[in-house]
Amino acid sequence: MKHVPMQHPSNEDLFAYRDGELAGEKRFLIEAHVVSCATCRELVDGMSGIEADLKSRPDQVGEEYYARMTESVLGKIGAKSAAGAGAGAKSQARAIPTAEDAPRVERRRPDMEPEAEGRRRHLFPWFGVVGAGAAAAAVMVVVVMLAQRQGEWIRAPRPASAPEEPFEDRADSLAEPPEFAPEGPAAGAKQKLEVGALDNKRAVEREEAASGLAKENAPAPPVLGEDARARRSATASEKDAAVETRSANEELARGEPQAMTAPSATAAAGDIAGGAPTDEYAAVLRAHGLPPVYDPARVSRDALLKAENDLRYLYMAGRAQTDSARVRLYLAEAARAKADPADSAAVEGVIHHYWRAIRLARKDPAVSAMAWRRLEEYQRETGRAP
Amino acid sequence: MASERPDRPDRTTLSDGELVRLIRGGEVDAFAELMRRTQRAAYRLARRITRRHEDADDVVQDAYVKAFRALDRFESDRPFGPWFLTIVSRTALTRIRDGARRAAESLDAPGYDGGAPLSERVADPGQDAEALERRLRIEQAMASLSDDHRAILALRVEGDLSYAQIAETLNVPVGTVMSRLARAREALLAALGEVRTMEPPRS
Repeated sequence: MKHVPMQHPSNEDLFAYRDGELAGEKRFLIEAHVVSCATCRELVDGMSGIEADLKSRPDQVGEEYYARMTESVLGKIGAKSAAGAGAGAKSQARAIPTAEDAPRVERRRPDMEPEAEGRRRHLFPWFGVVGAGAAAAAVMVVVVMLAQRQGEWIRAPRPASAPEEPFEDRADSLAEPPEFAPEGPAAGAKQKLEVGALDNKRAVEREEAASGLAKENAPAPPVLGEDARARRSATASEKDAAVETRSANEELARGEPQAMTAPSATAAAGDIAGGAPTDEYAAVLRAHGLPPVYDPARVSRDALLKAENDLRYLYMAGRAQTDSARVRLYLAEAARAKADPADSAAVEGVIHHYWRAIRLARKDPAVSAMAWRRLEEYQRETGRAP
Repeated sequence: MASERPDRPDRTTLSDGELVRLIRGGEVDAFAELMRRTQRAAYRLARRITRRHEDADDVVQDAYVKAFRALDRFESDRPFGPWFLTIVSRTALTRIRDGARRAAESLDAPGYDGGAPLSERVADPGQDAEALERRLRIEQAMASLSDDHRAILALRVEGDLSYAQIAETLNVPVGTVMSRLARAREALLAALGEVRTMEPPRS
């Protein structure tokens, strides 16, 4: 490989690609890179080999053991007597307190069945002998596929000989499809680099937050444009949701295993207009102590920036679904928190985010109203005509 | 184990959902068939996380009892396996965090019931010495990881769970699963001495 046309993707992205967890543009971009980059292919192939070895570890117990276990468990749940006496599982289930660790049935996307994942993984059996020419051709094929998929959204692809650009910026060179997309083109390279530099730190912070080490997000002073009216406008239902979110966080902080209740039933119980958040969005909200719809009176700059990566992942991976507008509003606010008002490209980027949120929020008046309000404030702040 | 319990009707052709409906209707011993379908994966997952046979055994049995009691909450049009594996993994994680943590069994320790140790079992007939050594090194590297890293790798590799399912199991956002899994894999590579840092592209 004499020429690698972009920076290596993060290991997160490479492994997620290998695991069949990426969707949309991101998947195509990573695939294009892996096809053409021996270093990344080696990493991904190496990991696949190790995991195959782990998976093929021989069983350390045999059929006899499983047979004994079966009888033991049936004894515990009363199957032996029940088989003859006809005592129903249902009545027993009521008599015994419900198990804490039993999850609600997961709401997986149908295409995420394990079997399907397995099949998908095998679709790309790791490019054993791709030569330089084949790799370049593959990149072109992917670019052409992208162009076909995206129709009028795509801009002219850069030729392979174009100056190298950071991977994220490459993602930015694609304009957005309607439902999910890489970040807006106007977000400047400088800002991107900042994001990259913060990534590791944030990953650590996110892990801490998720494992309950981080303190609950205290209602910190609003960052941008302190607005007393916003406090009053927080609806009662959103307050309920915030209480729920806090209690979920407290539970996490105590390190107690949570029963698997649907996140949508807790984190965003009182959410309005746009319907309950999807489970994944609700999980992000809960982990970072955020309300379903961004509100400057209730979200600190710190919490916003900590949540940004998780929210961006939802968006980029096409998982934001019906929450796209809400996620986009959060991303607009995160961009705004970092944008230098003197940097007109950065300011335009923020405004672009707001417009996207407004367009996506056609059926979600709460998001639409907030995005309009914040956009107008921002335009005034930065000396632009609303 | 329909083969060992001939008095139990053969239910191997029924779907998971049909079995659950039978159990809810009072035919509790139909649970044996659900167990037959899932216990190997469940045991392997629990063993990976807890690293000991006794712990894995307790965890899997507890998990079956919990699943049975929670069958009311199981949507019978879904496969039982992934749902059950999330119970197994939560039970196993609770166990290693509750102080039941002990040193990993040596690869040379006798297997369950005094059988061959793992160091012998990993040797496929016809496998060359180099490949065997590599498998043992991988096993050792895996056992040397932190609980969190080993658990998330076990969920992905043994449990074959999607990121969304892992997120639900660990109660963290999918983005955290993505980064924690990457860190775990990096740690595994580092333990194997196969550290690969992503160098910047050469211009």
